[in-house]
Amino acid sequence: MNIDWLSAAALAVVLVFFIIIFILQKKKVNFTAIILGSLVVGVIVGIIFSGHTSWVMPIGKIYVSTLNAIVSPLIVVSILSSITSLGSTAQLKGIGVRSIFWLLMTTLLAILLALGLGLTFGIGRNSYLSLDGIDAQTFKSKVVPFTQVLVGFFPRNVISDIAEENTIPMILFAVLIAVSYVLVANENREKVIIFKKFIEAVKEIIFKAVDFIISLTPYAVLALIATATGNGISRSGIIWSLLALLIVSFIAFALDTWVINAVLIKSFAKLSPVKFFRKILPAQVVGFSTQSSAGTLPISTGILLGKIGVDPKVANFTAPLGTTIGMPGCAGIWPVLIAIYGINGLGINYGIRDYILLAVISLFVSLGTAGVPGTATITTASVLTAMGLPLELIVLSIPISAIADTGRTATNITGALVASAIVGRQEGSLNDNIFNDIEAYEAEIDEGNGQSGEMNDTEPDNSVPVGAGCRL
Amino acid sequence: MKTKMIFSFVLIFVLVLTVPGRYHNVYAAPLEDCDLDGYDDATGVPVPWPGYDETKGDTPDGPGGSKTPATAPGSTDSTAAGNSSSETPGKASSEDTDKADSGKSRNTNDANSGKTDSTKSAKTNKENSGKANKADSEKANSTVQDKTGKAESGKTGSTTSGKTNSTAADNTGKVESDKTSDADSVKTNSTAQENTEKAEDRQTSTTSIETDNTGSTVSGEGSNQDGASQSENKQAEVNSDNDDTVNTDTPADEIETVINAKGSLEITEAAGSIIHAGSSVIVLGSGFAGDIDNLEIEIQSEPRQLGIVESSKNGSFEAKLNIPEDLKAGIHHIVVLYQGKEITRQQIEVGPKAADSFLQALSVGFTKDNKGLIPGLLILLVLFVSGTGVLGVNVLFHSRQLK
Repeated sequence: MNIDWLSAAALAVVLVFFIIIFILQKKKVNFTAIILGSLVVGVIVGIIFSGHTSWVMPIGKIYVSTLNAIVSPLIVVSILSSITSLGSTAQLKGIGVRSIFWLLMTTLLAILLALGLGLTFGIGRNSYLSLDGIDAQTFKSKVVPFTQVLVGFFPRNVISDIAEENTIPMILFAVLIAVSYVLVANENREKVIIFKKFIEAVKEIIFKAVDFIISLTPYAVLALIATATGNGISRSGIIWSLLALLIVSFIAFALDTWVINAVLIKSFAKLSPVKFFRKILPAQVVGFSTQSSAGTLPISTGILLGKIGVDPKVANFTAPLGTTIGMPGCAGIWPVLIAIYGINGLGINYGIRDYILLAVISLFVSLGTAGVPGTATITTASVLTAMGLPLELIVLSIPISAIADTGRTATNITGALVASAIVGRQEGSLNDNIFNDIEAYEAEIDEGNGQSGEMNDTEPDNSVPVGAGCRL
Repeated sequence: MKTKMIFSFVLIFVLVLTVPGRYHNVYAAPLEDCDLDGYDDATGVPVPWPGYDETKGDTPDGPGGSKTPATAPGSTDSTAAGNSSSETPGKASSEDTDKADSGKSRNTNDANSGKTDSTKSAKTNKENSGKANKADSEKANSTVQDKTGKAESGKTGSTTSGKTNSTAADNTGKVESDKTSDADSVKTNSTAQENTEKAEDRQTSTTSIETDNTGSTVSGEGSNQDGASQSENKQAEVNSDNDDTVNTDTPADEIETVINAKGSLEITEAAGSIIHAGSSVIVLGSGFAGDIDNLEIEIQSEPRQLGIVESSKNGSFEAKLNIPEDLKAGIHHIVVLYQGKEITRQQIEVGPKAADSFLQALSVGFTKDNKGLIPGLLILLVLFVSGTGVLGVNVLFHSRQLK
C-alpha cells in the first residue's frame, strides 16, 4: 500500500490546529477572531502541503454537507414558528401583516440594490473560480425556462420537495400550514396548542443543532482553505475579486442603510431622516460592533419607545420580528452578492429571468430563515441551493464574511427600526412629540433589558423568536 | 554478536514496514537505442539491433507495433533530426551520415510546465562542444527528456513545439566518440518554432536536408532500422533552412489517411473553471489515426501553436495546453493539424485574462463585455427614480397639507 506521507502529515498538522481551536473556543476567545486565525493557518498549511491536501479535504466537505442537510428542516421550522407566534388573526391582520410587509419590503429593496450593484460592478468576473470537484460547465444546463420555474414554486409533494431541496415550495407549504394553524387557533386554541408546543420544541432542537454546526465553522475554514490553497485556488484573481466583493457589499450596506431607508422614513413614516438616524445611531453602533441583532434588540426597542415615539405594542412586536424576518443585510444583500459572485466567477450564463428568480428566491428565503443563529450562512446556503449554485461559495467567502458581518448586522437593525417606525405611523401609534423631543417617554424602562413593562402583555407562546444575529 | 544480528533484523523489518511500498518495487527499464549505436542509451547494454526501442514495442525479431519501416514513415522518434541544423566540426564532420528525418522531432523543453518555447516564438541555438562522452550524456539526456515528454503528453499534457533538433547528429556523434575523443563537438541548432506563423506557411515550407558526401536529400521516411543502417559509419549534417516542421516527403496517402480520420476534441479548463487567457486547458482527442506522434494543436483565429501531441494506438490523446495570456477574448478554435493540414477543429470561448489587481477586480464590470452592466445600471436607475418620485410626491403632498 502506497501512503502519501505528506498528505498524512498535512492531516496531522490540521488535527493539531483543531485541538488549538477547541482550546480557544473553550477559553471563549472571540469567534470571528478564531475564524480569521483559522483562515490564516489554512492558507499556510495549504501552501506548505500544496498538492497533498487530499486527506484534509473530506473534513471540509463533511461540514458543507452537514450545513446543507440542516437547511430544509430549519426553513420549515422557522416559518412555522414565526407565523404561529403572531397570535390572533386580528393581530395577524393588523400589525402582523404590516410588519411582515414592511420588513419584506426593506429586504426586497436591499435585494434590488444588491442586484444592481452586483451586476454593475460585475463582481466575480475574471476571477475564474475553480472549486474542487465542481465543473463550471455543468451549471449551464441547470438554467430552466421561467414558466417551469414558476410552476415549480408551488408544492407538489412536500416530501419530495424537501428531498430535492426545492426551497420555495417548501416555504409556501410551511406558510400554508402556519396560517392554517393561526386560523384554527383563533377558534379553538386548546385544540391545536400541542402543535405549537411541538413546533417550539423542534425549533429549539434544530436551533441547537445549527448552533453546533456553526460552532464547527473554524474547523471547516481551516480544512477548506487549506485544501483550496493547496489546490491553487488562492490565485490573485480570486483574492482581488473577494476584496472587490467586500467593498461592493459595504457600498450596498451604506446605500441601503442611509439612502433607501431615508426615503422610506421620510415618505412613509413622515419623519426627518437626519433626526431619525441620529437617534438610532447607538443601536447601529452596537450592532456594528457586536454583530448581534439579538444582542442589540433591547437597545433598539428602547430607542423606538423612548426616542422615536413608537407605541409599545408596535415596538415590542415589529422590532423583535425584524430580527427574524426580513434582515436586509443577512438575507437580502449578502446572499444576492454571493450568488452573483458565483455566477460571474464560474462563468454561468444567466439571463434577466434568472436574476428575477434569484431576487424572488432571496425574498422567500428571508422569510424562511427567521431567527436562525448564523443567519448569513443559512440564508446564503438556502439561496445557493435553490439556484443550484455550489455551497462551496460560502466557504470561499468566509474570510470576508467575517468582516462584512459588521455592516450586515447594522443594516438588519436599521431595517427593523425603519419598519417599526413605518408600522407605528400607519397604525397611528407613533408619538411625534417624543420624536421631536417635545415630550419624554414616561413608561418605566426595565434596567435589565431596556424594554417596557408592556412587553408582558404579550402571551408567552406568542413571543416572536429572536434570532442570534448573523454571526457569519 | 547475537544482539547485533537481532538488531539488524529488527532494523530491516522496521525499514520494510516504514518505507513506502512504491520504493520496494524495482522495474526493469525498457531498452532504448535512440542513437542507433547498438547499445541501450542509458545503461550501455547491447540491444538486439540498432535503433531497438522497447518503448515502441520493438522485439528482437523486428520493430513492434504499427511502426514498421514500410508503413510508418518517420518513426525515428528521438533520433529524428527533423528540421534541425546540426554541425559536427572536427573529425566527426568528415564522416557523413544520412540521417533519416521524419520531421518528428519533439521539443521537450517545457514538457512539464506545459508552456512551450513555441508560444514565445523563440529560436534557440544550442551549441555543444566537449568530449564525446559529454556529447553522449547530452544525447542521453535529450532522449530521456523526449520520452518524458511523450509520457507526460498522455497525462499532464506535453506542449511541445516539435521544432527542435536537439539530437540531430547524436548517433554519429556517439559512434565517433566511442573511437575518438576529438570528434565530440556537436553543434545543434535548436530552432523553436514560430508559433504565430500561419498554417499556410507550414504547408508551403520545405525542409532541406543536406548531406555532405552523398549529397542526397534524405526524406523523412526512414525508420529506426533505416536510420541505423545509414548511420553506422556516417556522420550526419542536417541543415534546416526554415523553422517549419513540414516534411513534404511524407507520403500523400499517409497524410490523407491521417487527415481523413476525423477525430473529435473535448476541451475543458484544467482547474474546472472557464477557459480564459492564461489558463490551462485539457484537450482530449479521440478518433484520430493511431500512433501519430506529431499532431499539432494550435489555436485560431490568431494561429498559434499550443503544442504537439502523439496519438495512442487507438487514436486518442490527452494534452494539457496553455492558452496564451495575450490572446483576445472571444470565440476561437482549437485546431488539430498534421503536416500543416487541418484534421479537425473545436470552437471554444476564451474569456479575458484574470484580474490581477484590486482596481482591475473592482472595475472589471465597467467594460463592454459585462452583460450585466446595463441591467445593473437600469435597476439602480429604477431605484433612484422610484425613490425620488416617492419622495417628491410625499413632499408635494405634505406641503399641500400644510397649506
